[in-house]
Amino acid sequence: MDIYREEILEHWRNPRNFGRLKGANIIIDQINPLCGDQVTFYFKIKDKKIADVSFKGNGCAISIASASMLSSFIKGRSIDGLSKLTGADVLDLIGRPVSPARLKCAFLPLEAIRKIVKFEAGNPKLETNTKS
Amino acid sequence: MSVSKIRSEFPFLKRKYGRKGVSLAYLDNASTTQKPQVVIDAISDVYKNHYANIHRGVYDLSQEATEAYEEVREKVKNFIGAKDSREVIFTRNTTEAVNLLAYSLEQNLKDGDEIVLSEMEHHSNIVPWQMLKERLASRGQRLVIKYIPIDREGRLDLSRLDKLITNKTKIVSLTLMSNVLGTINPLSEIIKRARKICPGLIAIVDAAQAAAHLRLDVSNLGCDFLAFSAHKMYGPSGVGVLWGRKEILKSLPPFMGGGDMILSVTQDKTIFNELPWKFEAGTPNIADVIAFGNALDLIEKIGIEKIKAHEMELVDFVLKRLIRDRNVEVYGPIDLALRGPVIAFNIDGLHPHDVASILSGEAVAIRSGHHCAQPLMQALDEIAVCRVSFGVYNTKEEVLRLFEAIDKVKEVFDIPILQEPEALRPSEFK
Repeated sequence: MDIYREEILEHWRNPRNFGRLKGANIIIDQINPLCGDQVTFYFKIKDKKIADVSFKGNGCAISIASASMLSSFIKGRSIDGLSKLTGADVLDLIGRPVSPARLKCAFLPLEAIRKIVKFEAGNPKLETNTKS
Repeated sequence: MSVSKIRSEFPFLKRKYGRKGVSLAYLDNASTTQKPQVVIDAISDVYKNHYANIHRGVYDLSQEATEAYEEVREKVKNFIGAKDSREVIFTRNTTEAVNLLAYSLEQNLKDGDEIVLSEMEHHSNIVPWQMLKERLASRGQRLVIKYIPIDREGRLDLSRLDKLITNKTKIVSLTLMSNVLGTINPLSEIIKRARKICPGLIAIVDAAQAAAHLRLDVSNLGCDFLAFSAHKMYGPSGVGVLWGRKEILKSLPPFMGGGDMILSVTQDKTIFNELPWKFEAGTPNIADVIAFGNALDLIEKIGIEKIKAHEMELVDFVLKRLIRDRNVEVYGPIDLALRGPVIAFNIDGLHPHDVASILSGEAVAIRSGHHCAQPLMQALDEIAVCRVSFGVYNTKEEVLRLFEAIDKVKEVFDIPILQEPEALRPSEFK
């Protein structure tokens, strides 16, 4: 599959922002229902901005590379701006093609970001453990 | 029947994939099998020529459909060595069969009763019992669910079976063949040992994985119930079988109420129908049940022992290669006598989904994930595994394509490729 380009593999070998984030004020566990993989995202939110972000856990090359690339992309950005982030943007970032069966893997970090956006928009319920 | 003759019966092999224009090496038969032309034709023949509701009409067409449907019940009875076709109940699948039991057996349970499963069960033989436990708990009754552990080779560890089973064990429900490890469990021995401790227990066999590979014999197994699905044995999806001992089935309440399962209904009361129809509420999957008969005929025509022997040759071929590869871990017993044609493995450091995705690009279909057996994954200390599973139409050439595709995966991820002795090179089979 062409998605396994050198860039993806490089992020898989050396994921950016990997590991627990000290001082995180929101932690989100994402479970990939396809395989049961769990990836935990750590966010440090300050002044409606992603001051810092990291992730940790098991995952396939696509989910790890996507988390690595996306975490670098969102760092420093405003949550308001991130509310417009779409699946297509993620695919632009990590590259195509991702087969439909593997979109869940690629979108795992996006789901975590969407929860942050919802939470910051005043949705009082932050589901930190979800199967979506 | 030769493998090439068998392959000519399966139209899915005519479709060509990828740049090379090859047929799909379909190695996910433990999930579901592909369908032969006779089964596909049978479905359309029923709808074209013989379709009407069963057990109802007095006109000829309804009679014809009823006879064809009931004839399959008879075939199933013979297929599993049962004595009475009234003991054969059609369900949607194995899952529905287990759920039927988890509901209908509820009345037999008392506070503190126990049920014994194993660590290698499919979710369909775990979740219905956990739901039963919840229902009982809401009435203040406790149900204890125990699991027979697996040993390091992926076999059931029976060393403490006599402690696990107690006089409170009311149900033992076990898989005859693991859908992940391929392990074939010695269920007749386990059931015998369990009955020595608790003679009145109900023994349930999940034969979903075994049915397409092993000769099933309910009297030999000594079980009270046996469940399997047509779609894993070249039959249509949407048809399952629950076989049960007549005496027990008679004493159980129906799972679902509705049409066809009654003798008479008044505003206040219903008298349930005789076996097996008491457990078949509503219009069943008529056409698919009838077509399932054609799948059973095909298996009998080829011979299930021959099917297994062919598949195990392929297993031998795969295991010999994978266990020599230090970058590959194989789960489950290595001894061919203890297993069926399902092989679980992982490539060091690689996620099974990445392996399966790259294999898919090479027109090799394998399964990756937890295989609906997360407690087993926890016992193996893995989140997911790759799984190759064979059916009657698979060939050595397809296995070689699997090996080449695995090499491709390793190439992508920079993992050393196993150097093969000449004898295992593809050229030998071309």
